[in-house]
This record gives sequence, C-alpha cells and structure tokens, in this order.
Amino acid sequence: MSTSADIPMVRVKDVYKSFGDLRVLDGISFDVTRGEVLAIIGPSGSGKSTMLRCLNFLEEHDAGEILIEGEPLGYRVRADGSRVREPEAEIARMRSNVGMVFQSFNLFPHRSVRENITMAPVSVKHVDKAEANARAEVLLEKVGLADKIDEYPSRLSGGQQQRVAIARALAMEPKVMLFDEVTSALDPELVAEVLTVMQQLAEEGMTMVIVTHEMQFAHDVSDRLMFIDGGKVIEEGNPAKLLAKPKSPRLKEFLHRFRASFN
Amino acid sequence: MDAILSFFGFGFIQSQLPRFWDGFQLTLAISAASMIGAVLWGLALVGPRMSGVRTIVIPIVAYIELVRNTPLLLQIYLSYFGLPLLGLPLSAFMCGVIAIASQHGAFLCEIFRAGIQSISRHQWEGALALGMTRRKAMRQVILPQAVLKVVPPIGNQLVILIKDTSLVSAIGIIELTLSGKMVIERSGASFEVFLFIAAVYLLLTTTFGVVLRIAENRLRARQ
Repeated sequence: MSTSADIPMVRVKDVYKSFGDLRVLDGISFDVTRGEVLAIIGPSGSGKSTMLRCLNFLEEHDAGEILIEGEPLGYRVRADGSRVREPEAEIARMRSNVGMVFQSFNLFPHRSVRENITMAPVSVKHVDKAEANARAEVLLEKVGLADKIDEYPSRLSGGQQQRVAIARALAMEPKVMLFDEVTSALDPELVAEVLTVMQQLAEEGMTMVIVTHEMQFAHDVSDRLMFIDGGKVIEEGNPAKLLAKPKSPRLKEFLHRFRASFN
Repeated sequence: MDAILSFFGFGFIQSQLPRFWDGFQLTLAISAASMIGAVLWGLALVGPRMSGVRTIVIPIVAYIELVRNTPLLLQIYLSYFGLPLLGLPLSAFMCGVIAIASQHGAFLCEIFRAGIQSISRHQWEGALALGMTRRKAMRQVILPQAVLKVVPPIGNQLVILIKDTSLVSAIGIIELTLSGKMVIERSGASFEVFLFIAAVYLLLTTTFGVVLRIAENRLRARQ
C-alpha cells in the first residue's frame, strides 16, 4: 500500500506548452519529493519561468499532466486520454496549497502588511481573524519584519516587500513553495536578506521549487539542480557535481557565459 | 450693501425660502438615491461587461451605448410613462431615480472598466496564487484599487448627476428647479430666482466636490 510519503509532492508528466507557434515546454517531466529543494536554472527563454507558473496553473499546460501530492492540477485526464478542465473553485483550492513568490512581489498596495498576510487565510480558508492575525505576527517575526506589521507596502524597501510576500504565501500553509526569480528585481544589497529567509525555509524542510539566476545560492541551498533549455530538462543532479562537471554542451556553454559575465 | 441685496431681490428670496427648502430637500434625496443606484448599477454592469462572454457582452454594450447616446430627458419621460405600462406601480420620484441611475450607471460602468483594466495583471496573479477565485480577487484586490484610481472621473460623473436631477422637474417632481419655476410663475422674478437657484446648485456641487477630494486624500494617504 502506498502512503502519502511515497507520492511525490509535485509530479510533472510530459508537459507541453506553446505560446502561439513558439513551443515553450517540450514534453518536460520531473518529480519533486517531499521536503526537497529543487533549483531550476537555464538561459532566458528556456521555459523555466513558464514551467514554474504551470505548477500553480497561472499558465495552463497544453498537454501532459501536473500532479500536486497526487492530485491533478487544472485538468483531469480521462481514461481515454482526453482532458477535462477542473472547475474554477477546484483550481483555486489546488492553488491554495501551492505558495508562490513573484519577481515583482505583487503585494496589494491598498492593504497593510498585516492585511496582505491575513486576507487569503480569512477569505479563502475561513481561518478565524484573530488566529490569522496571530499567525501573521509569527510569520513577520520569522522574516524579520515584526515592526512593519501596520505599514503599507509602498513604504517598504524591495527586500522587505519580498519578505512580506514570502510571509503572505506561507500564511496559507502551502505544501510547496514556488519562487520565480524573486531577487531579480532587487538592488544587489537587498538580495541577501531575501535569500537568508529562503535558506531558513529550506532548512525547515519546506518543499521548494526555485527558478533563479543566483547560481551560488542555487548551489548552496538546493538538493537538486535542474538545467532547462528549449523547454526540456537537459541535465539534472547534485548541484555541486552539476556545476563543477557539466556533461551536456549546452550547460557547459551556459555556465561558461555565466562565469564570463563575472570576469 | 442693502441696496445691492435688494436689487438682487434678496428680501423676496428670503420670503420664499420655505418653498425652496422643500425643493432643495427633494433635490438632495433624488441626488442621493440616484447616486447610490448609479454606483451599484455601474458595479453590477462592469463584471458582465468584462466577462468576455459574447452573448452577455453584446446586449450590455448595446444598452450602454443606447442610454449614453440618447437624451436623459427622453429617458426620464420613457421611465415615467413607460414603466407603469409594464405594470410597475412606481412613483414619479422612483421613475426619475431609475432613469438617472440607469444612464449614469452606464457611464460609471465604463469608468470602472477603465479603472479595472489599469490594474496590472501582477495583482491578479498575486490574488489567484493565494487561492482566490476570480470573483474574490476582483472584489478584494482589483476593485478597491481600481475605484481609487478613478475617483476623479467618478466625481465628475456624480457632479453631472446632481445637475441632471433638475430634469425630473419635467415629470412634475417639485425639486429645486421646479420649486423655483413655481415661485417665478407667481411673482415674475425670474432673474433673481434662477440666479439664486444656480447658486444653490453651485454650493451643492462644490460641497460634494470638496467632500470627495477629502475622502480621496484620506484613502490615498493610507498607501
């Protein structure tokens, strides 16, 4: 008998996705196990962000299947292979289990930090308001922003906003967290404070999928590194090995260009 | 000073104040009821207007274009003479409010739509990623920001609405304008009365404008 521990947290099965004539995901498959931190790297336009956005159905895959803890996301595949789109409420329920942090923060500017964090638990999961509040305080403490609870997002730095965004996603108690180039919009001196929070989350055993340009961070924090190009997984494995001894020419070239930009 | 005031018939106006007062109160009531109606109607229309479902969008666009491009006076007549024919036993007051709310709601719908479209898709994604349905995202995240963005054009529209309430005098509602006309018919002091009434409308619309600006600044100050 299979227990929930055997089921991968995320399973991507032969997923295709095109924007018009442009094929962005080209039959991609991978699993993310419980508690695993997967970092996805790749050149721009490789499909890595699209892949991540498919994991909470912000992008809808054209074919294949995505399962979150065994449950199909967005589409249910019938026995004859045809697909049925899930009703909106079901998609929303699935999304509530998948936290996402964006490059552009996407905090709600008309709500205070506290409200940004408590809003979804109260309105989506019907958590008691006082309880949501208490949880918001704990989460802000964790990301080092307890004193900002009644500020509005526009009064925070980029790094602070991004940490609030992480706290907001965590407030839904997600099974997996997705990070979409979350430090790309930050000033260099603000990157570390966000990465520290992510590292802490990883150490606590959160299942994470991280799309990033921060190669050193990917190396340090991830359990597995995946190199994507042309909408396919080109190479994956232990981050230290992969970065030190890339096998595929494309990853070699990618790493070469990446390192060249620092020299 | 007294000479100027008496030239403008101030003493006469003063003697007629109770009549104007009744009319003014009705104008206030019609304005308030029509505003509430227009805002709710505009909000009710904007969702279906933006639904993207052709069979819903086309009739709504047709309705909006129709009421925006025909005179309000005509719509007031149609409401006053037409709605009873449909078996709706409505007072003149209600018919007037319905006509005004219907037209201004259509205008407001387009203003709301512009505001909603001005909100970045990132806000939608932020809300959807938290497990909100589109409906919840719209109500809690998009609309509050959209409304704030379009407070100035909404203010304009509602000032026009206040002025448009004078048109319901045509269906015998003795609001401010008609109360003035009645005083004129009895006294012949048309210049003094119309000038006075214009001043009252001006006072009403500017007061409304100031209140709106204070409210807007309060809302903005929080962000």
